[in-house]
Amino acid sequence: MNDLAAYVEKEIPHLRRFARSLCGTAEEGDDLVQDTLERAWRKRHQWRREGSVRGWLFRILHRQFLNSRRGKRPAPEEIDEDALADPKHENLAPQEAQLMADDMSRALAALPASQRAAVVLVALEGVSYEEAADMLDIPVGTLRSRLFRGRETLRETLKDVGKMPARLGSARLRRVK
Amino acid sequence: MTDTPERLHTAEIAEAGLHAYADGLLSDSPFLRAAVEARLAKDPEARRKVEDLRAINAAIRAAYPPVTGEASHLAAAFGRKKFLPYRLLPAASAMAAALVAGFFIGQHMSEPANLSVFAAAPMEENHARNAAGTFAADAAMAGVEAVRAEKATGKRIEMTRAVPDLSKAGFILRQQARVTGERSDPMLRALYGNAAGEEVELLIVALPVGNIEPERRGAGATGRIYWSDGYLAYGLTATNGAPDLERLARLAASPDGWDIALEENKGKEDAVPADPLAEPAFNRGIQPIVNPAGLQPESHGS
Repeated sequence: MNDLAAYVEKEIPHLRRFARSLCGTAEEGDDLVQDTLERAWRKRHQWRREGSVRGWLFRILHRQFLNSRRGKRPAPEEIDEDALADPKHENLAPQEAQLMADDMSRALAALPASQRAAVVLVALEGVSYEEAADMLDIPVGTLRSRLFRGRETLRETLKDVGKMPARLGSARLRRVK
Repeated sequence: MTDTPERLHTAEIAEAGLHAYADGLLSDSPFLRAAVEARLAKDPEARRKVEDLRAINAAIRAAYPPVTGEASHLAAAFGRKKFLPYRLLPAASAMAAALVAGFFIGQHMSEPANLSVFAAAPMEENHARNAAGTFAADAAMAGVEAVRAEKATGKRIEMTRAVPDLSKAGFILRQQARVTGERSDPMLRALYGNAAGEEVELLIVALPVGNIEPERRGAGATGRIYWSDGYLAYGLTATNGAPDLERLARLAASPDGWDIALEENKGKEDAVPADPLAEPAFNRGIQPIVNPAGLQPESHGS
């Protein structure tokens, strides 16, 4: 069990990041992670040693998120201010960094939760579609569908904000139709 | 040109290829990767799309960097019961020990009180004492207190739907039944036996108090070992022969002793069912718990 606790602790930064992207704020995200870890402890006998601890924890977190949102109206979009203070944004002017995170957070917040989870999970964790589908407890075909639709919506949403990716030193978003 | 289903299907595959390429997921598929790269070489629109997808991923990573701040309170959550604040743990542990001991010892010493047993298989003769039921007032009160605690904390305590695997000690599950006493407090009883004819009874009751390591109460053949995982309290008694109760209790209390648990419920265990008692578990070697006729399922708010 000590082994499992050590594995779980290593996953906490990943869980917090994913939870923040789902919930929109650091506080709500950490609450979700806490609920997730408490539930994981109660369900620890269900963890299979040959299974991925990360996959198991993400699956619990996502279910906790869906359960917590059941019957709730969509939350107003909020920006995670902690993300803006991250060292990765040092090369950007503060205003630009804020706008960049602002743009992406707004665009993600406008996505349906199911699409947001798929898009963010693949982008943040770099997992395969099969792993992401397992983490979200959906068939891989559903994962692909949500991922593609979510990204297409993001492209459409951001095409008028085409300057944002340029700030990252990446390709500009352009209208392709 | 009119799109045919075949053509649309091909377009979807091509689209999937672009996404997978942008996500760096084609390194293990040289054929697919070569196909996508051939398309990118002659299709500027596809190239722009891949660039866009990569830019979106990069923007998401920038918007949500790894969270490395202080997280000791979160790490502590793995191993803590939410409804018991740390400051109450010492007192709760002492109270839990007394309550669990009282529950199981009281049950052991008392004689039946209108117990209902719901089991698909007929009771064996040497289970007569258990079939008659030994759930005394103490047990009933413990169950009632558990339900009260559950309501007070707003937490739904899921009565276990599987029992420990004691086969490593040679004890095979013979019977599993949800039972209830006079006051309808739910309990789970599992009966195990080995090839030598030794038999044990494991009783499980929702008792959300605190972790208690396996401890023996009483002596000799009348002894009972009890423990608690903070949510469920367990009592193990020899019903035939003189089995090594300590060994069995250690096995049952170990998470490794739950290898047979809930495999078939994968994908459902964290959903919030309308009524967890109404949802049978189908486990290897374990019969589902049948919701008994006449027992009204409790309603659980989510």
